[in-house]
Amino acid sequence: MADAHADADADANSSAITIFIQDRKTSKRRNLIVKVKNTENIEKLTKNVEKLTQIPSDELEVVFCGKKLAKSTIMRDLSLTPATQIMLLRSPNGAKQVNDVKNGINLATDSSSILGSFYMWCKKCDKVKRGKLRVYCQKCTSTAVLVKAEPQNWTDVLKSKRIPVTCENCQSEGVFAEFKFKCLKCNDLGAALTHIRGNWQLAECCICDAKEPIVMDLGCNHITCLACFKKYLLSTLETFAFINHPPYGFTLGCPFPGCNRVVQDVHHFHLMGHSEYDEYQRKATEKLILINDEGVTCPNVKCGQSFFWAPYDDDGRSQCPDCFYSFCRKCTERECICHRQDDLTKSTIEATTRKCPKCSVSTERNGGCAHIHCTSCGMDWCFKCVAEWKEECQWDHWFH
Amino acid sequence: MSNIALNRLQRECKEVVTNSEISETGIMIEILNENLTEIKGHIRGPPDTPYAGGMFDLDIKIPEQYPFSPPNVKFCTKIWHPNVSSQTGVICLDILKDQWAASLTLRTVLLSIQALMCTPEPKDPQDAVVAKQYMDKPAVFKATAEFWTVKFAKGHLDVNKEYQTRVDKLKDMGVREEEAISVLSCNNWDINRATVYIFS
Repeated sequence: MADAHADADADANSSAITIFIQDRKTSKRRNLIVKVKNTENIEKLTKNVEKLTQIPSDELEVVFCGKKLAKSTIMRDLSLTPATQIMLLRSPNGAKQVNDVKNGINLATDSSSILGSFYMWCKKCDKVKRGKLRVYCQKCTSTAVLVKAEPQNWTDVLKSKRIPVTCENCQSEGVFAEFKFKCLKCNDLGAALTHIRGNWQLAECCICDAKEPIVMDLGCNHITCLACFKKYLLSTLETFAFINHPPYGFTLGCPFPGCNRVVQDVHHFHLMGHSEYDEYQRKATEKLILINDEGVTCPNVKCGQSFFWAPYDDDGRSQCPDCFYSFCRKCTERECICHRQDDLTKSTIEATTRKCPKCSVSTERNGGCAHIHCTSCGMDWCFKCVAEWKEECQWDHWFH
Repeated sequence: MSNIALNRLQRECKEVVTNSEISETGIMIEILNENLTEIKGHIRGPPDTPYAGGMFDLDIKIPEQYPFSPPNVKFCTKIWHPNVSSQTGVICLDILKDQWAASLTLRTVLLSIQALMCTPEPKDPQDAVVAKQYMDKPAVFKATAEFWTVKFAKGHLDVNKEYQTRVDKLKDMGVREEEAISVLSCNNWDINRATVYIFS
């Protein structure tokens, strides 16, 4: 494998690819390794195969990424790597294949469906990269598949069992396509970033006015450049102002005023960087645990693991599954101080704070009116009543 | 301050300054320091409101996180308005708090404050006393807001003589004019209640 890579690097214009021939006339299969040049087209490939196999080139159909290719397609447009496999189908009765674009797709004019303007998060390159879409059989993971319907949108590609295929490898009935994204540069698999797109109209970033070639768009056409979106994410992370938005989890909204679109896939948060992404995940877990009655966070300063306590921990104590620190869930101390009177921290917190009536988080009021908006659970409550904020509170509890 | 913030602010300042907006829309900004962290805003009192004819100054402080956090804006000219503290000038406006969005600008902020001056929102008050007066005694509210505009925002309307007499009475008792106006306004211009409030 490593050698193959080296070869490809040495001669950037040509590469060896694996060809899988499904001969439906003789019901035979065979594999070939063929050297192709980037500038050659599919017709030339079938001619080369004819030389090696004596199968007439006009009886061969070339299938790649689940689709038949037009004979005029240039190899370069396929962004092949030594690991790529291309399938050639020979028609059952030896009929001539119609050699025109109508029956296949020409990547020069219809590149969006395979090469696409996809962007993905490549872990290996550690950045947003252009990606290529690849199609596999969901059952046998072979690439020898032909899609029965074109994917129409992101859902078709991201959700399973949407696009039916015929698989020439396992030839099973009722199988579906599995789509994967690979980095155009390093060929590693990665997560598709559906909100990132090319800035075709060269529109301005709604934050800094820059006209960048790649932008974020949450589906509302309010575009933000990646640099601004990164800043936006980092400033949201600072106060953990992400909102819990099932089914997407803790996420954030479009930076355009009044727009209520949200980031639907947290993979986009990789833009922040490694440690920040980890911090996001840790805090999101913590928050999720906090808003759940059976959730608890380990008070051991060296741990901080969040977990759900088991129902049999009904004596009010729990043990952290990670560091085995055992503590009282109420006062979070190893030696329970719930009934002690002389604990200064506890008495100070009790004296200076009131608990949110919804999530019980201790809340200090350091100024302003009695209207409290809980940053933990989002509840609006009255600091005087310690209950939901009402119109009477608006009038009567103003200065309390 | 980050580069995004600085570039943004330079553009925003240009946007407001070069448009010579004060003549068209009645808003203007003035840059107080080179790194653009402190800016002065000016809003001309909108016509057909008790603030008409006045010129209101605002302190704008740009936080480190700008434009991802809202600018800190408050009135430095005293104003009688349900959504502005009559004591501190702090403004209760959703876009300056949780509804802030990074694509909003100083211009949109000032225009929103100007719109708030035209249509107060007494259901979400910053100053409950003012809000109560606005709801219960609209005529007194209007006269008080006009009086404040004349006294503090260089409004050119004639000063309400009756109100001025009461202010002068308190002044004769040794009360500062600003405090006298404030206490009288809070007590619907009832001089007895105002006196009790001050001297008890």
